[in-house]
Amino acid sequence: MINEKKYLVILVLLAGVLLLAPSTIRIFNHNNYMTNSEAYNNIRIYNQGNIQYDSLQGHSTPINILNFIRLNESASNILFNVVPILLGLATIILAYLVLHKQNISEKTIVAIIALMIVSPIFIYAFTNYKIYSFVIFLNVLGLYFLMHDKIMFSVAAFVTIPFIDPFSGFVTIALLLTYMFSNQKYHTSTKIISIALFASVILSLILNSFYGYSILHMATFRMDNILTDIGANIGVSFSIIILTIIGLILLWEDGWRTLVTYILLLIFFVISLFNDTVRIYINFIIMIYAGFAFIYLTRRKWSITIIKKTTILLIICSIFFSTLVYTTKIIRSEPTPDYVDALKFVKEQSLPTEEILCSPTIGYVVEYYSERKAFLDDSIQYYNKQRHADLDIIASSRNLDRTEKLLKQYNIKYIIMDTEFESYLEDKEGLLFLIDTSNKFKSIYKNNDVEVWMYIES
Amino acid sequence: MKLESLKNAKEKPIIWLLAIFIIVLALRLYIAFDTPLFNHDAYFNLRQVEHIRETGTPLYKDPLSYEGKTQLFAPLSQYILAAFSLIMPIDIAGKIIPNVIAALIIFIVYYLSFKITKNYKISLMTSFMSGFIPIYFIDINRVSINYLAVLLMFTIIYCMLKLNERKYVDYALILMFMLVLTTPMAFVLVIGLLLYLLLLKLENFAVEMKELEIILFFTFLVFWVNLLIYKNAFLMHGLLVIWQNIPIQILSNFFGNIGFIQVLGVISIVPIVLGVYAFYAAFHLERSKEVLILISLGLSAFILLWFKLLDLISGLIILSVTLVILTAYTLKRIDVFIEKSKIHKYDKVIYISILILFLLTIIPSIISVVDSPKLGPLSTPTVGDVELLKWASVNIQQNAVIMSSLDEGDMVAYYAKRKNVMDTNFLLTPRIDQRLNDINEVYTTTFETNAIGILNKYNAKYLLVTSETLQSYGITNISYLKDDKCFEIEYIRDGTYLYKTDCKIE
Repeated sequence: MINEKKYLVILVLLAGVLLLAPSTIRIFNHNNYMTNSEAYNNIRIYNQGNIQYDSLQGHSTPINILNFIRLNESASNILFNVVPILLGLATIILAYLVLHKQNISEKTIVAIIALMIVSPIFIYAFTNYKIYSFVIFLNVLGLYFLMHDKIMFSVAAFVTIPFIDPFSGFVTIALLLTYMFSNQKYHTSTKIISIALFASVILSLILNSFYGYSILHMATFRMDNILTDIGANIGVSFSIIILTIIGLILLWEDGWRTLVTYILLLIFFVISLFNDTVRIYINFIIMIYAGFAFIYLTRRKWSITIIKKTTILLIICSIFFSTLVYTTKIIRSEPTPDYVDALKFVKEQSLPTEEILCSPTIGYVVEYYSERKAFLDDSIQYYNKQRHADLDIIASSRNLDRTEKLLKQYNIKYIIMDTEFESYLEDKEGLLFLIDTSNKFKSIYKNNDVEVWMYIES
Repeated sequence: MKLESLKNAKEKPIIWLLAIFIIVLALRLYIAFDTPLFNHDAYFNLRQVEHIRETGTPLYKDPLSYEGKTQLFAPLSQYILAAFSLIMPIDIAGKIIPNVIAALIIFIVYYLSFKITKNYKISLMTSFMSGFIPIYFIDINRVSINYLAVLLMFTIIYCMLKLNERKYVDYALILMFMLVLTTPMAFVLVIGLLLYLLLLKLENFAVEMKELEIILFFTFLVFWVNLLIYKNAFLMHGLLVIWQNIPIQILSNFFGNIGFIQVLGVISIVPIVLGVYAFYAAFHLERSKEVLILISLGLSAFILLWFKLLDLISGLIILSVTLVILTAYTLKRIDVFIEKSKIHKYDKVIYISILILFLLTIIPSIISVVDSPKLGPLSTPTVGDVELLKWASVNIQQNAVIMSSLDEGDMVAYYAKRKNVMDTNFLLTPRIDQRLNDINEVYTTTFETNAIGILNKYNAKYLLVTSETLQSYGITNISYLKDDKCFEIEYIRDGTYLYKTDCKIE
């Protein structure tokens, strides 16, 4: 018992260190700004007061009950910065307790939780203010109550999820049904929860539709890099994939029930290649299989000891390498103080109706600090696909008239040229050529990180 | 006594093997030394070898390639060459050592064939064949890492077949580390070994724990080491790193379609027919674990070639050696058949006929490969090119940029020791297609301003014009170079020109 508590304390400490490390190191490097673009969007929507409509971008937003919680500035700063970390730690504790209920050995639980903590997706979900922090926490909380036969509390946790993110509600139902199918133990309780959750999802969809949010924008699908070893933003390590495959083989039981469950999991894996939400959910599931596989590999009698030691060492190094690559990436990510200065300069300089051309990945940050509409951010590209096509034209066209027509159409006055966007424009060549050769663009601000160009109409 | 000892010696396969090795090596060195120079893309490796010899480390931060960039590669092959270059000149080491490594394949082929057939005559026959596979002659003057990679791959497979002996476990581990530090082609072997596990399962063979453990270890090792080495390339190019950021224009040269006739030409009909039969026999007639592992490697190479995930030459080399070894299995089956049949008196005639057929088919193919104008080992720069570049290394500014064709970029960096605009190391270079288009434009445009604009873009003051470049563009001269206001001949040697320009487009 004492050992178990000791392990749990160590795991919680490890989680705390990993979640705090990126922002702490950034602060040491004189950069107090949050790392994640989505967090800026969430905070901006929260701060603007109108929670069903994004007045800057001009489209409706999904209903998020977190936005109903109105706090003063200092309290809201705690919400945005501290609460996600606390939710991460709470998720770890709850996951530990949930796994304990499954009669899994202590070492396997520790391995599963440890892999979960060092996974880049865990760090992504629980640093800064993202809906995933709450969604994952509520999922694990619901599972905890389910395992302890507190059905009403479990229902309360699960039914909240669609009112934070409707698509997460769908995914939760799908996974609950898969769990119900594969495991007869909590069959009735899971059934009740699934029905309640389903009703909650329907209600959420109705409310969202009522307030003008199209359910078509609920989920976005695009082919993404899923390996953090090679730079994925929301991904897994290659070693975890191998361990998961081994774990799936180890936990295979003959029978159609297992077969169907595995087929369903395979479908989820495939969908996770195209959707961030599913990938985040799947991450926590594959860690279970990976944990089993890891313990199996350490415990089994290898015929060649040296291979055992080297393989285990390789696996551990590979997993930590992936975590290190990801953590380093977010430590070095925008925005930096210089970047924010440039955006504040644009805010002072510009009119509220003017738009800014920038890299879509930094769009939310640009909108947050400049309080101006970015031509493309992570959500507009799904609401308005035409803009995506037009960005390509603007970036590659060497015809000044054609480019000007688009710039005027969208009232684009400023171009934020950071390293990433410049690299993109260099590949396309068109806009950079026009900036160099025409007298329609003027550099109005420059620092180490970013250069701001202004489009002069006449 | 002497005659008897000679007769005894003739019976020992090692003597025959050494004889085959010497013949193969002699032929290879004869072709290699037919020219004092190397193929164009050998010069990158030679520069690395020089740098390792001088400093002990590879030249990862290359100040000359693409006017300065980071190189990414696994350096073991270059280290081996550098070690030998301490006892002989670099260009001699570059000729001899890769060809010695290439010739060593006959020993591995012999031992693998013997493991399958337990027949030393058949094994000798296949080892002889392996020394004369036409495609194996293409990299004679390329200081190629393919030879070391293929040798290591098949040696690992041999060790995998002898894992019951403890020492082979250690050998396999050491060789795996070496392979991973030599080339990313280790992926081919990983996929082959994973296919082998699958085939074992399908064929109801028992999977030995040692095999499973070693394959698991190797899988992790290959993926992790390559992620470490090529991390920046993955970050920049994503999964397109598999195609090495090769410009689209020339991608088909590296990952071309494999036509059956071409395959016949570069591998020879005998190993293809007998090897494919072995594939059939291993699944339908007589199951054999040893054959399965080779089939798996062959399948891996074939699948990767088919999906254009493996460059043509490397893939064909692996495939050809695999087919030659599988030939031993077929020959064994033929031998067993002949023994039981009425024609057992003619077994020697049959084997000699097969050998003659093999020689008849490979000799024209070898000649064709060796004489190949673009890819063959004799397709080297001219002495004039080299002497001009050596002159440039002494007489032009240290930080000058020399524009040359793509193929000549490595040579420019090696002999002239000056920056080039482009060479055959494409990784980590942005807008690679544009760069190649620019170079093509310089050599083909009739407008001086276009050419000067491009030269200015890359800060190139010098333009190398060789007869080979003109030939490759299908032109006899570059018209704007007649204007000596902007372009003056800095040096000329045996039809190779170095032009200098000081003009700028404002």
